[in-house]
Amino acid sequence: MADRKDTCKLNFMQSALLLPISLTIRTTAQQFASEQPTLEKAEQVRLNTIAVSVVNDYLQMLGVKTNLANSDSQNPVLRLCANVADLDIPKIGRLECRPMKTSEDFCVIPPDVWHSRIGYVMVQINQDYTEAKLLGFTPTVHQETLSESDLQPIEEIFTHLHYLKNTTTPQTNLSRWFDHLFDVGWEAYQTLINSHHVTPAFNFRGAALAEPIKSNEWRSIIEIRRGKLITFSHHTVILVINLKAILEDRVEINVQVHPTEFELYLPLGLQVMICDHADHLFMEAQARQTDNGIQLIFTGEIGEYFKIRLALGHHSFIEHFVI
Amino acid sequence: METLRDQLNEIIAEACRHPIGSVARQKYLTQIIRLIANELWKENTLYYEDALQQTWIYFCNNICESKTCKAYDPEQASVITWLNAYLKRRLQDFRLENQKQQTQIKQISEIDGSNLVEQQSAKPDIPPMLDEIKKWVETDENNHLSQITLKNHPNITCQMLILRRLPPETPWKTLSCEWGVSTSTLSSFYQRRCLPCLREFGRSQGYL
Repeated sequence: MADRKDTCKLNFMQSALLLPISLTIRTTAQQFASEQPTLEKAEQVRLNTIAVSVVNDYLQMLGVKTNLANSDSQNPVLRLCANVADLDIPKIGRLECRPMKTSEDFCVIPPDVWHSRIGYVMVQINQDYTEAKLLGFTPTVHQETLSESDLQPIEEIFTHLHYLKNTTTPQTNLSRWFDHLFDVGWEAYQTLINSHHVTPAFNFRGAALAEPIKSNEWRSIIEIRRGKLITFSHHTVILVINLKAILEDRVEINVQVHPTEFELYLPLGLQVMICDHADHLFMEAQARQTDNGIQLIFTGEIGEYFKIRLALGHHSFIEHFVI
Repeated sequence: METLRDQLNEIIAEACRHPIGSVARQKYLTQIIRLIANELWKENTLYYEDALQQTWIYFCNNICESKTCKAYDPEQASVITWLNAYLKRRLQDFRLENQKQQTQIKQISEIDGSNLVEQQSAKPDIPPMLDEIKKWVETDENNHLSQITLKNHPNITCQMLILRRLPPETPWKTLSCEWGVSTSTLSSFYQRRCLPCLREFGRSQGYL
């Protein structure tokens, strides 16, 4: 009886994964901390930086590709303006790595990170900042505080990442573009222009479905533009999506199709069609002899689905999107 | 009763039955790290953690296949012995490097007599980034930030929210009470609409 109890206790204590905090990490954390205006903020940033770095090292050594540089926790402005400890996992999302001191029983999940996260890892950090314990992982949080008993063993993160990677239907999530998270194939418009010598001045064929906006002029701070190469058997075109956030949950989508450097005009007969979730065609255009671009503009709400179909002769490509 | 060594060898054998990068292998390797983390050589030096980190990487790369060196051979030694040998070699490398650096520092200070400690202790002024951000938000040149508003609350703008959340931050609860909007709604608005502006600002200012 006593044996079993001891074994249980041993298993519970052994759930935490002990990992070192290297001098490199400590130095970076100190540097980021010294950029902060208050002592409280400095300690917050120091601990956040350590937590993210330790999780990053752990995931990388077990073969998970991470993009630390793209994480908000690595952006000095965002470190200052929010309590963020995220780690970007390409094509999957942001993992939040929350620190906790050894003197504490639980960690607080700040409202800054309640949304847009694929999961949360709890990292306990010792007083000297030399040892970290990965206490565990949870895919969601339902309250402001997290304690060890809320967590699954840390290795469950691999199951979760694998699940997320393989269950996403091949559709592009445009909201993530505002988070600077882009799927493979979607390149910065400038990169495509530079490498394909596309002249930006266009003779557009197109249409715009824009709803009247109440104020005289609206502007948005964020305009994201990405392009993708679409290759038919003898022609390659560039599909460009330009996003503008216009209201809290409304986005203007500007779809353009351009030829590449080798052609002045779009292939004759190229069709661009946009359909909603019910497969209802709500916009289309067809390239005529001297069109060097097609442009279709419409607005949609966050969460809405649409698909773009490009057809030329027998070939067609479909790109699925959710705003 | 199984010894730790037997238990480890069993888990190692299991881990190696699965391909690199597979979920199963990742889980088994984690379990091994969990079991032996406390059994490895410890010392109290500045670079110990760096050496240990390198040892874990070596472990992951060579426990089953020969990625960087000869793969682990359970016939030769226990995994703990194997890793300790590697750890001590790394510690030795760091020790030598450290000694070399100490000698160089000593040489430099002897040459020009300057006090390096003096240079290191000069603290930078509180960096102006906070001031720059504040100025940018307050100025809001093209009225961008003041035009991004929370749905049904035209009085709550990104400009206001960012300013209130700059250090020293107004607590979310306070803002929630003041504006009569749940913390969840406010933080969602902040994350989805206001942070992207700050993110872009950071990029455009070359802070990254």
